Amino acid sequence: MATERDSDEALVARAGRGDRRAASILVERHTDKIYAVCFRTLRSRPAAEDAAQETFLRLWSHASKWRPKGAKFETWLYRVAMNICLDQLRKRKREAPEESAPERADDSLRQDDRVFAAERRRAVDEALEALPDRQRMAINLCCYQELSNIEAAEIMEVSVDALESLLARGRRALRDRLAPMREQLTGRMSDDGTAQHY
Amino acid sequence: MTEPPSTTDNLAAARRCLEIYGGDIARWPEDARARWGDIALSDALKDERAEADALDALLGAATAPSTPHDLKNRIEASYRPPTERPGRGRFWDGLSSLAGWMRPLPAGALASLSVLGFAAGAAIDADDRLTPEYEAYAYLEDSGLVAFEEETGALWDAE
Repeated sequence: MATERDSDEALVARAGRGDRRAASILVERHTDKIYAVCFRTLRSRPAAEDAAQETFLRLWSHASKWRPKGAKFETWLYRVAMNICLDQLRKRKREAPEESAPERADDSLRQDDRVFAAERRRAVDEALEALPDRQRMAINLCCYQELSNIEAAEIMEVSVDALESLLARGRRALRDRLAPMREQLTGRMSDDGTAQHY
Repeated sequence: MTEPPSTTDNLAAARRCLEIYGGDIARWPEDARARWGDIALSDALKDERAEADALDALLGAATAPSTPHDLKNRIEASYRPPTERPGRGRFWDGLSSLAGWMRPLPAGALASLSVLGFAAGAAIDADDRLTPEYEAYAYLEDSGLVAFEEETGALWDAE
């Protein structure tokens, strides 16, 4: 019988043999992280839900054959999710090539009644949305998912040097884009004490 | 032996880490933290650190995704245990695994048979040549002293 203490690898093997409980523990353990990374990459709730579901469907179909091959299960799962997101982003660009600005995050997500917090959030969301896809992915994995540079590089299938370059360029672009409002935004943040560290 | 990095090099490396990983040194990769963490915290890089901290704080203000409440249920419901195809059972699984195991057999069998044939041929040939009776018979026949009765297989005097 699968338990919460089982490793991911053991659970995948069990799920591959038809153990529904093992599948359920994997879902409980990884859905939040996979959904978060999909959401931050795709900037859309429905698209992120689709991508997360698709990620797990691929897991179910590979579970009986899955072998570690040196990579951690979680790294493999993130890589599947990232590839699905990249496919969606490419499809979006093919379908709407004239739209240079990426889709905005759902307005329903911004229900903060404090004007400045909402303004700050919108500015940051838009700055993140404007980043090239791979820079945004690198920032998602390292800054928001708190993965190590080595894990993030493995997921993105690039060298650590290339990942660091993506991170540096991404952060520089964000800093430049947010520069006009930075003083105001950071000033407000320290005034109202709502600054968060991701 | 390599020269130890100069202060300028160390400052540049610490500055680059601030650019890449932000102002929270605790979140830097371990080796970078060990080598350049103290330098990043020094007054020499005060401005760069403040800049990195400000960006970190702004990034923290981005919309935090919260998993839709029914997503896990939907994903769990999508799980399908692997099923055997109709008509397939242990026999077919066993047969297909045997077929997989036998895939390299033809080449291997051919090579083994060649080696076996060669060895057998060499052994038979060697026996014929080395048997003393054979040598004696060959000598007698060549010298016309005996003839070989093919039908009876008997040896008899040539006279």
